[in-house]
Amino acid sequence: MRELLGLPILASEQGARIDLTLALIHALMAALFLGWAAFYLYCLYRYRRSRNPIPNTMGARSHLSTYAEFAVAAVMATILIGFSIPIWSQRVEDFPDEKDATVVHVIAKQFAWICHYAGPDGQFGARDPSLIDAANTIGLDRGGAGKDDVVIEQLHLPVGKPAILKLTSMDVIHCLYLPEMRVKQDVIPGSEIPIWFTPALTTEEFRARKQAEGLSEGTDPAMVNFQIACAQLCGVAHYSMVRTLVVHTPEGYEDWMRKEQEFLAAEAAAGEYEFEEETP
Amino acid sequence: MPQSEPVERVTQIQRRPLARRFLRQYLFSTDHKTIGIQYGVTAMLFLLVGFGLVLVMRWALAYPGSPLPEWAQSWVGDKNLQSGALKPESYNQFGAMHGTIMVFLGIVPLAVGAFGNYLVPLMVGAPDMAFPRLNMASYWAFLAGGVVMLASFFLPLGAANSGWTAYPPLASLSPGSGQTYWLVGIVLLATSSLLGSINFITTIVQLRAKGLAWMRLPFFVWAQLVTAFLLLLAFPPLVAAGVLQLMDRVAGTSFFYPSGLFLGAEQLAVSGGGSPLLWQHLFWFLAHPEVYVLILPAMGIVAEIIANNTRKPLWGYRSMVFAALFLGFMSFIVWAHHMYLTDMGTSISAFFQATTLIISIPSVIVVSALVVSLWGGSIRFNTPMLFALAFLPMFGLGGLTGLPLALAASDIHLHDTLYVIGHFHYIVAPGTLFALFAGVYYWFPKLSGRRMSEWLGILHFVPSFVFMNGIFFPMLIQGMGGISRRLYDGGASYQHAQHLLGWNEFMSQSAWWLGLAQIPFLLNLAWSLVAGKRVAENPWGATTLEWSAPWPPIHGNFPAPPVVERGPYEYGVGGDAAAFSPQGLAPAPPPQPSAGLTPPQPSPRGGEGAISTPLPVHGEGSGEGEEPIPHTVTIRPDTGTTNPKLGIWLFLASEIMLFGALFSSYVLLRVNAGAEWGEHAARLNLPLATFNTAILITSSITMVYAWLQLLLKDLGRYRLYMGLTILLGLVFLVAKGFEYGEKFSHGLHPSESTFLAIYFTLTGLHGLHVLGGVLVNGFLLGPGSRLWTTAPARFTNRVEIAGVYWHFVDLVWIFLFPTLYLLG
Repeated sequence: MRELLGLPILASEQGARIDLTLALIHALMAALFLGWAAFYLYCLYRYRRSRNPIPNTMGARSHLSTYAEFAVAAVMATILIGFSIPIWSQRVEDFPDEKDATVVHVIAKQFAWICHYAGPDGQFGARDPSLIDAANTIGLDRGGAGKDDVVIEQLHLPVGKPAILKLTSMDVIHCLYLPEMRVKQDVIPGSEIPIWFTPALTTEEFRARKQAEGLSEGTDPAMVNFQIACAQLCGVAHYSMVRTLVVHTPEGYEDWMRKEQEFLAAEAAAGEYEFEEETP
Repeated sequence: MPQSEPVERVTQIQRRPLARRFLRQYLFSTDHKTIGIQYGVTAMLFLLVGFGLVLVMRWALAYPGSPLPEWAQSWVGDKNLQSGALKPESYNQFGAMHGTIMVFLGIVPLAVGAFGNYLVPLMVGAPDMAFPRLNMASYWAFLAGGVVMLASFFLPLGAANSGWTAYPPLASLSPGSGQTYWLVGIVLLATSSLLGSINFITTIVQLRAKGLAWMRLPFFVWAQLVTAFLLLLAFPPLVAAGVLQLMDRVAGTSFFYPSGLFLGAEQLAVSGGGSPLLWQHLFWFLAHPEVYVLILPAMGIVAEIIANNTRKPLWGYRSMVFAALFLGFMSFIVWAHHMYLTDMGTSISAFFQATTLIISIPSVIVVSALVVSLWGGSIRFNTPMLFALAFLPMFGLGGLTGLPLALAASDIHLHDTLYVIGHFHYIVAPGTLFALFAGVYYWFPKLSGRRMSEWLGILHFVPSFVFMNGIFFPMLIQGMGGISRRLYDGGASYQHAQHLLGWNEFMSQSAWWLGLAQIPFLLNLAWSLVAGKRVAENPWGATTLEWSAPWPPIHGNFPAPPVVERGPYEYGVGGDAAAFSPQGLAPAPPPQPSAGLTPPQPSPRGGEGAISTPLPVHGEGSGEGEEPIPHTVTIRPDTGTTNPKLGIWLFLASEIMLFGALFSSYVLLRVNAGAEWGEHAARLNLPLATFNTAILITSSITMVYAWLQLLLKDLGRYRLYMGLTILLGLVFLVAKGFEYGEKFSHGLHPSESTFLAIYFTLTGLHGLHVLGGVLVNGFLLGPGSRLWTTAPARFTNRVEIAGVYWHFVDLVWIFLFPTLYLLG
């Protein structure tokens, strides 16, 4: 079904329902279009001038098209009430408890995605606009709770655990787009918009799946990754506002976080925080 | 009504120098047919420009980073190239301007300005538009808007580059002046649409021929009527939004800037407190009805051509009409389906999903009716019919692909992907554009007396059909695969889309071939104008009134007012495919001096080609004694009103939408605002504003008195009261100016806070309205009052209309005063 529609590989728990909705609508569309086209082509053939020199000015007498319209309206109403509204409501209302989720502040700016983690203490450090400079792009206060915060232009998540991303923008409107997670959300300056989903495939599994489907031909398998893209025109380098999403096993995530902490400790010892650029 | 001697007038005009006659007839004509042709030619040129832009963009998508062909480089210009390849910033400019040009300068002016202008008066049996000079002004405003848009390419930093949707803060922060030009251009185009739509509605309501009841109107006219209402009511909120964005760019206000924006590491020096989403609401409030502006006239054209070439009445004409009306109404409450991903709650998204699915029903009704109309017909496959027939499945695809976008859940994946682009291009390109081509082939004999070549027509149709699909179907595939729109690299940096990148070259090749496929069309136009087969007045055997008008076309359209006796599509009468009953026949031309029309003087056929040959017997555009339009002064019995009165109310309806949009913005900003709102509101000069309120109310009273004096036939006292009205208006403006000066001297500029921003914007716009009223009243006091001696009834009418406007301006202030000064 997914392959038939040509959707990207699915890697979140919530995405299946979206894919199902897409499949249902497209089935309806195909049925409508083919039915319509058959009638249309038949008319063109049957009622061409040479075959039918005398028009029947009464035209069609059947009410079939009216019934068809009612049927289509009924199917659409079913998809709306049975699928679209519940999916939406789950997406914007049924947030998991933050205690049971990986919470990340994702900050969009021209042309980067900056992910801000609370670190082991579970407390996000304060952000102060006056601290913003070329190195500290989000103005994180490294004193207090910000001491162990990880700031990185990559998104790292453990598999199978809900992730809550709190999205903000520092400049223009961006749009967070995780194609395989079926996640897309505008990021609007002046407001913080939360979004949630549960990754269902680790990056390793994803690479294997991709190879199995023959979608990563010609690329080094180790370079295949989930990506965060920007879906809303945000300026001259909009097309390149792409960063990496890494989905770890739960243990792998812990390892990653530990390495980041070691890294931070080394920086703190050196007396200066380097706000990390993208690391492979 | 003035009765001048027609014979004398003819000689008078013929004595004018040739050059001036040329200007009057072809350039500054008020004849709807000439204006229609002007619109058509200009719009087609713009379509070519907009298409050219995308052909360059497609090179960047097909061959990322590789230089354009040498000959193309010289067209694109060094400014836009980096070692021969299109720069990303230029790609964004071309993209933004492609959308803007195609929608606002190409399709709408062609569908409404050209086809509507040329055909609506003819189809309703009117001598011209209700307001011929407004019609001319509408064209010139359109041209000015187009020139401003195109001129922006030559600015140092080029044209607007933030998409045709111009979302702030990106658009308001866009460097250079391109975006400012874009905003000015949009305001000019909105003005043009406003003048046009008032004219269309008034013409259809007031100038329908005798016997042309509502349910006898051709579907095309219904489509244009609904379209005109959409333009009238939907454009003002965009103008409001444009004014706000212009203020953000020029006066440093923060309507669309929230607090705390950073550009890189630099904090943006604005007061903040605005809302980026405010723009999107105002924009889509226009732009969704705009979609129906793009499609309704096309449906109208296709309906006419299908009825004509199946030789039978349209199936379900009445349901089509009601569907079109319902469509128009619904199109105002679906706009936020463009905004599902802006953090929308369940209930609001459910509302907009439901309205969006509901609006699909009338579109389905119209298209189904057109398809079912084929049943039982005796179908003639000529070029116009081929294009009209192709419209149906192509629009069908476009409509169907709207369904997954209408549902918020499936929109999550498809939003802002190429699927969206494929969807609306199917509607607008092989949909609307094919309908417009069909219309050109179909009505070409009406304006030129010649038919276009069928062979070249088919040579145009077949490749266009193939290559349109070659461009747009892969967009659906790429979009489903997750490639976003507006990507300079066409998705090359998306790992998930690598296997879909091969389509880019295929689509680009299709686009270039589509360009070549337009050559037969251009050749056909040029060749058929001079050497096309000459045909009789009604070559297609059509029923509607425009084909009953004489050829060559005459100024005033019909030698005598036509009388309509039946519905629009009585084809195939008596079981004969060729037979038809014309809707109405113009009675033999009895000289009817009271209608002010002189009998037609057919001018020689050859030579002029497509350009109609209006007979210069009525002194067009010279003020007095111009084309006498029925019901300019006398009330039309069945509608109970005169043209100017209907016109001014329509104008005021659009003004209500304009100020309504600004008041809504006020509410939104106030809800978001902090403490400085109240502080700044408290510093307004309440006594002065109260004084001004009294001044303005008094001026409304003197305005009424001025009009009453005309009813009493006392010009002297009229002058007195009119003079007083103007004086009071000037006092208001001076007091306002004083108030502004006082604010500025205390450093209270629009950029200080959102309150001051909306205060200056609202009162400034209102002040401009007052100034406009003073100028109009000044004209009616001075040179305009000469009309009193020749046509007192008409003059009284004008004063009454000016009065209605003046009271409205007064009323706006009565809303503004408590909102700004008392509530704060």
